[in-house]
Amino acid sequence: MSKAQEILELLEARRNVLLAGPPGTGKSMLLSEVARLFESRRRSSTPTYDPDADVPIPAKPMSTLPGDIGAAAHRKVFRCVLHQSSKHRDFLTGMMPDVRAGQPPGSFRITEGILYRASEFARQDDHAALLIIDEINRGPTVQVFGGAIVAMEADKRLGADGNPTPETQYFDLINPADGELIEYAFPSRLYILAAMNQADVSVEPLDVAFLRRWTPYSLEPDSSVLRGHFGLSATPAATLPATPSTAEDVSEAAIQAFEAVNARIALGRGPEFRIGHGVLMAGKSRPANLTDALDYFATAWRTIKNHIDEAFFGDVRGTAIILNADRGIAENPYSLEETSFGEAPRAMIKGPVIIDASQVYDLFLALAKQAD
Amino acid sequence: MSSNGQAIIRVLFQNIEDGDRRKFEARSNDSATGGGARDLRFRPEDAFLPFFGRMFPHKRYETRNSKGVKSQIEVLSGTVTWTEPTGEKSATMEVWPATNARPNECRIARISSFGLYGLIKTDPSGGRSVFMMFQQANNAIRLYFTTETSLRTGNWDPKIRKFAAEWIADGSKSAFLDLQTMERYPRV
Repeated sequence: MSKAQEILELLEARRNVLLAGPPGTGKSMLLSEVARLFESRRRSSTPTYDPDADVPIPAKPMSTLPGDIGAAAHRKVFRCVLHQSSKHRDFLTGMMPDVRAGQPPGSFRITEGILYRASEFARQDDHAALLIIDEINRGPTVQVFGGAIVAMEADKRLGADGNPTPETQYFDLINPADGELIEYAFPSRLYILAAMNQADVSVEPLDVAFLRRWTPYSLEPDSSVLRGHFGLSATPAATLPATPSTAEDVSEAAIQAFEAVNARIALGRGPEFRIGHGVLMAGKSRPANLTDALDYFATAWRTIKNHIDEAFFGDVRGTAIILNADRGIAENPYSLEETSFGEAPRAMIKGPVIIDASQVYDLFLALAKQAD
Repeated sequence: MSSNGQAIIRVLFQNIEDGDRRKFEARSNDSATGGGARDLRFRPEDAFLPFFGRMFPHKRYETRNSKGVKSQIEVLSGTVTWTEPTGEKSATMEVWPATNARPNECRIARISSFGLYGLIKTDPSGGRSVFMMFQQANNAIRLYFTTETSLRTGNWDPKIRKFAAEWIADGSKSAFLDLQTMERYPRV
């Protein structure tokens, strides 16, 4: 089963799914794949005679989508990104100045936020809505969801028939139709898929009570994806040649370096700070020859280096350990130099600002070396 | 010839009104149903006859004598099959063009001879009783009886259900859908 199918199954079972993983692990691609599948139209059915069915020309299951998602004839995806300026009114309803043409100064209107619109879509018969919220930990989630934080739970929704159940949880909402405060509950066929980077510079920790309302789905850096992408054997090569002779030699070294760097980041800063395999997959096709491969990975390395610098900002020794610059490896373009600032000892990393194609293979050999 | 699992290529619906029930039973002899009519009539002929022409494989020519004027008419025919409690039954069905007395109405001839009366279903909600013919990709033609209530359920293929809903909403007595030529009546 594909990851997208797995997520759809989880959405059907739990309604709210939180996709988490380091940057570059394919979250955005996966969100798009889930969205595409969710909205995929049923294949145009060919009516067929079936003498054993209740009616001679019966409906046939036309979708691989699970449960209520697959059963809904009308499915729509709503997408948004949470950010530091996101407000409750952007998600549900609320008042905002009405600056549209023709409105007198000082006018207000009631917004219909994206969660409200998705909910209203899903409330209709035979409809299902998927709300995708990217970067959910970049904004004030608790304020944005407000009273909906409890009502969003799967068992607090309205029943499948649209009627309340004993567990249905209502919350107050300004009705966009008339401005009255109403009690509102979410429909059963409203699905919410959120995504977040677990570790990033400008994220906010998610409220524990809010987090509990989501079923987690974790993505990990996966070098097997890289091996498939670059056409390499699933088993890493036991030794790397001192000098590359093919594009595959460079790819192999790059992947082994990637794994080694991630292993050291996990130890030094935590697994959530690792970098995803997507950083090495900027191109749709693999490099055609040795020269292309060296150029390609030299460019990819810039992004990896930036990530390391960001994750270990102010920690020179930590950065040096990640770069294997503290071990005196001859081919390593980076090295840790001990010096002093007045009386105080200092460390600094020496090496090129930009690694070029002629240096990148040696760098990968050095990075891939494990501690003795 | 096995016809299970074959794609449907043509579908025809007709609302069975009280007068039509008597046609199926061969009791019809009142003027409202067309005199001694035992034929199921479809109008407009210029829509339905070409449809029947694509449905029925055989043609023969008959000489019609109307008020002393002889003319050649084309009669369509083919084998139709239906299911009875005792099993499958088949018979040859004929479709005749309009007569001078009832212009623009083609007709399935002598429907009473098929003994279908007991298969007619009465709608539990007072909706239409529906006579249905459908043709499969192997050209086999089947007869079936259903109701408006059934046709509105999700049991039916979505295309058939949608077409039936549009036909019922239109209010016309008869309807066809040709999934090969994409022609249909009523053209809603």
